[in-house]
Amino acid sequence: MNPRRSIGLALIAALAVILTGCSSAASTSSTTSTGGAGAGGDILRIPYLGDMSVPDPDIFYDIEGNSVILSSYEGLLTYAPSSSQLVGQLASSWSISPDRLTYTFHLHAGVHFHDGTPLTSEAVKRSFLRRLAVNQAPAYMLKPVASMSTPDPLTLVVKLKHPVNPFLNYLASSWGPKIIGPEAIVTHAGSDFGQKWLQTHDDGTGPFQLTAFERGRQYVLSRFSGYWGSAPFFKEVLIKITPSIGTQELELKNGGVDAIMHSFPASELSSLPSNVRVAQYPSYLRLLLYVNTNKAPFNNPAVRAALRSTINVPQIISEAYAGTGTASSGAYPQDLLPSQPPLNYTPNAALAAAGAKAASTKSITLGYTADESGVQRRAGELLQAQLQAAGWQVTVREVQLPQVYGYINNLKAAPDLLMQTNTPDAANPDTWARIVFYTTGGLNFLGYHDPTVDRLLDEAVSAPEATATSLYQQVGKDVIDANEIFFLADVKNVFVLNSGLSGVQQVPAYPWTVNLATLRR
Amino acid sequence: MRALLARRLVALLAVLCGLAVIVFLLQAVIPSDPARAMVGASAPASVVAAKRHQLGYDKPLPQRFLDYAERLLHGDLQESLRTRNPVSTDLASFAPATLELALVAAMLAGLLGLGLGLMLVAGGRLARLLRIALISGASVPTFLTGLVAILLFYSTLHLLPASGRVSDTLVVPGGPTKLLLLDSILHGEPNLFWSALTHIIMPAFTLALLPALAIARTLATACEQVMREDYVRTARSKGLRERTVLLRHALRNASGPPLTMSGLQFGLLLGGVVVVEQIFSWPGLGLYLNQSIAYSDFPAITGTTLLLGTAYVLVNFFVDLAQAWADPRIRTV
Amino acid sequence: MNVATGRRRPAAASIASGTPEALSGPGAPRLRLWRARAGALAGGSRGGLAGALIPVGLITLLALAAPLLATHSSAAVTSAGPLRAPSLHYPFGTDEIGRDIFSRVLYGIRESWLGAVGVIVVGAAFGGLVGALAGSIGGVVDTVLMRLTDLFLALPAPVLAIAVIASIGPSLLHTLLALSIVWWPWYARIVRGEVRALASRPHADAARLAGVGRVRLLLRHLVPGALAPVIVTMSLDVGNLILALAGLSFIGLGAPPPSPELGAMSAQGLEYLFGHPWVPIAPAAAVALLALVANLLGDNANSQLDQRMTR
Repeated sequence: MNPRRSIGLALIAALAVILTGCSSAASTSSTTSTGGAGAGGDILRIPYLGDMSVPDPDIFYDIEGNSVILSSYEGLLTYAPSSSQLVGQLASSWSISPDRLTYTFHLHAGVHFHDGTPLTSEAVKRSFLRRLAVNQAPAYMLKPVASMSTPDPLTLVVKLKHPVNPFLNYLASSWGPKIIGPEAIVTHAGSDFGQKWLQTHDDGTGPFQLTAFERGRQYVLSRFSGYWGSAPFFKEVLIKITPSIGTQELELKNGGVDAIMHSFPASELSSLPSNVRVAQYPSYLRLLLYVNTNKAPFNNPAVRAALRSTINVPQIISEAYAGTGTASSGAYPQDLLPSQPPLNYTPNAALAAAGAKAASTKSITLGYTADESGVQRRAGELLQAQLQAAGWQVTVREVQLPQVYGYINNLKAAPDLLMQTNTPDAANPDTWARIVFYTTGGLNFLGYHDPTVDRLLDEAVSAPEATATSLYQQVGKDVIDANEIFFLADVKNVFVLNSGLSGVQQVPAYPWTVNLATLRR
Repeated sequence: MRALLARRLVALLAVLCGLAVIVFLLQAVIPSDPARAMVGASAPASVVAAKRHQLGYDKPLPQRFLDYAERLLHGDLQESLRTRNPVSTDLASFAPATLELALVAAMLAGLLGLGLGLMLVAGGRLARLLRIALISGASVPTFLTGLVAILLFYSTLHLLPASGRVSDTLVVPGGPTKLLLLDSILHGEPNLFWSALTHIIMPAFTLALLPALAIARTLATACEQVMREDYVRTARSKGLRERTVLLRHALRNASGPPLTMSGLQFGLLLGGVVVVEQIFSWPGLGLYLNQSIAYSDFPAITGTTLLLGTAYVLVNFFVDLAQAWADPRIRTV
Repeated sequence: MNVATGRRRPAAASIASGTPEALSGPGAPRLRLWRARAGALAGGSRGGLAGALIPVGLITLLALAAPLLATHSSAAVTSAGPLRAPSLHYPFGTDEIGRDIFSRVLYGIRESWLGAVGVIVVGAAFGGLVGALAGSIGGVVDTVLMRLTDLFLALPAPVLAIAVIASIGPSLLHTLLALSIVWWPWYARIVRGEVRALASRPHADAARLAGVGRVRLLLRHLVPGALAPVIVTMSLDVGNLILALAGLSFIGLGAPPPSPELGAMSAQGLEYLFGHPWVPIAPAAAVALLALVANLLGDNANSQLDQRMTR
């Protein structure tokens, strides 16, 4: 036989043998490895787009990852499902002194940490002190605390330096003080208050326990048998790091994962297979447009007013969000403040053209932060199209979030317009206004500065409720009139789930996650 | 040979120093502020300034370079802004996955390249078609190959998994090599072995395709050149069969360029790793680098660059030595 | 980021030294030299090179004429709306914003092709300059320049490119710059090798004896001799570079959106793969097409040169 042909045939034969060997191996190995329909049972699989920073509740301040924190830890308070109503979690009841300086919390009896030790008020106090000692981003919530005392093992008394209206909301926040047990804070304290140990472990009181934290691969939450509440259905939750939303979609459709909690492309929602369903809920996520008033052309209030007349919000919403977002109706997230001053973004072609003329020599930059679902990119490009149609010259640029945080140091070099989706820390108007409108607010990216607003907010945080409400309304009106921050969309929490899942419970103040303990198959 | 070794070692050290310098210079031109990234957005300016001082960013450039060099010699790659671990720890935990992927891909590329190259040389009608197929295959970007592979083998045929290194319900043993294919054998766990194998095939093949084609074409060209040499003509005229001539005489002498090409391709393999790990959710250095870039985590980016660069330099160093050992003519160069 | 074809380290024997034109005297008209060189490449009875040049020429025309051929601008939102299937008006459909994909792919081809050619020309020019200087001046200059070249050669190009772009921020210019930085060393090596080999040949000696200045020697006798392998390498490289650009923009390090860069378009379109597959497939196929055409040319040029050598 021809030697050349025989080499070729031999190689092809070898390849065939290998492939058949592989396929037979794959079909005989457990179905979970290829994610067939049989995958499931009492194991829940959820994908993350990237690693969370750390599973340490006193450091964690992102959004993706709160399903880990909220499943393994609990705070004194939480929110009732689908509402902003405060209910007790580890605190069975609480009372506030008339001067609003002293809070007394009564703890549930019979609660244990994952290390087995019982929950006591001393443990709560120690946990709060740890947050202040670690002093990272979420520590501000406990800064107003003057002193704490533990008259008995199930009672904690907290005295504040001055009245803080949102204090209970801080305790219920997704990033609020979670009660961490002694194994972390005492046994493994080391020299850094247990931060090293908490990078890969947890010691909370929640229904799940963090039993494995493999960066880049997956996190494993296992059902905690000593949980004081009702036991979750799922024995294990596997959180798999899957950086590509396309791969996540594929795996959801093929049963490899059970639910995608965020960033599902809105336009694909209409073409889902029958084994997958969509569940949409309100959230406090909002799309904002920040305006850079530190350089031309937007340092001119008339040009800003013209910008306001150019934006056609409903068009951006319908095309970018495809039903997963609605046009904002006020400066604050809906339901957080009654009788909000209205926004009134009505397009006016003449004013728009005049503004474009005034800015005509300048090409403005519109920046948006990258996100996997592409929705901010779409919104940014739609806005660009609207502005260009009115005669503005606009270039659109994708920017990374860490750079956005740096703009405050060099506002002249920052983009002229910035699009970003934000959420308040908790369901209280102060937790929104303070981070977005206050001069030194963490989400005040382009340096919006109004001393009146700062003063009103400082007054409002301690004022009695009725006064505070009217102060927040006033702040809202000032912000809207200044035309330096535009409120475009209220974005929904969109969960795409395997149809077999039920028991979906979520809280608007906890974005991108559902209650994993109530979920069942 | 010894003189060659000495010269090569000196060159190796010089290149590694150059790499360190280049990476340092990159650190010096970044536009964002790492100190602020570490302390958080709402930190006051004084805290940021204190952090800058602590990290040494307020020192003059030459001083910073000396600090950097000293840290490098102690293996200190600073701390990742995102994971808050020392970068060296992060690299150590992510490197084995990439190492395993790269090794399997390199083996696949070598075998495939050898096989395809020989088929090309063997000639005949098959060869011309094969040549066009190879050129077409070499034009497909890696991300497209990976995507098509996932669609075909996962979504349609349900043969292979689309993501991860091993089935999510299996526990990964901590050692001793951290290469799952080896460790599973050492621990005597056939389930783990099969799971690791089915997970690594698609990413490794995606990664290996372009290098394999390059090696195949280089081998074919080199073989063709060698086959025209006089001593081959002599062998043929002695009555030896074409296959013997090819395999026993020509191949050994034609191995130089393909070997060099393999060394080069390893570097491009390292680049391809970044794309492949993203698509297949492979928990290695590529994934770490992607996440670090998204976060502007410069200590992590520079640490990963140093590691990958050093690996590439070392591989080529050994390839050079292997070539010199195989071909005495080179030893005097 | 993969090298599609073979990139050989120049062997000790010079590639072009086999051509008879090397013996032309000092006064030989430049035209004869150039024509001979062109003939060396374009020769080949089967017209194989011509066969590869035609598609290259077409693509180049396409790239240059993209603004004329495109039915819409690359950023214009069409009235058809987002994610419309391919039709007569919109041959490749519309993307998630509602832009015409056909036009964007054309612009993307333009950016990729011209960008790749630009990087290679810059890389070859700079590298060629370095190599020519090193080869002709020799001595310390040669050693220093070649050590520098070796340093860049020894480092992995894709990893360095990623590091550079990640540091200075992604934009089309930055990406092309980063690629030029890692691409030039090859040309330096090749040109230096050729120049040195040619400089020791009889015709160069004769020129020197006749009093031809060093610069003229370089320009009229040495550099043209090095052209053939450089051009071959350049043509082999276009395909590599297109794939490199696509790969970089796929992971987000190319021209940032909304720029019509083919790799980025593929990456961003991935999430629409099921409902609307044309969104990622059209740009990805365009990348493959460009690389294929370039690789065919490079392969042909390579084999033409091989044939010349062995004749």
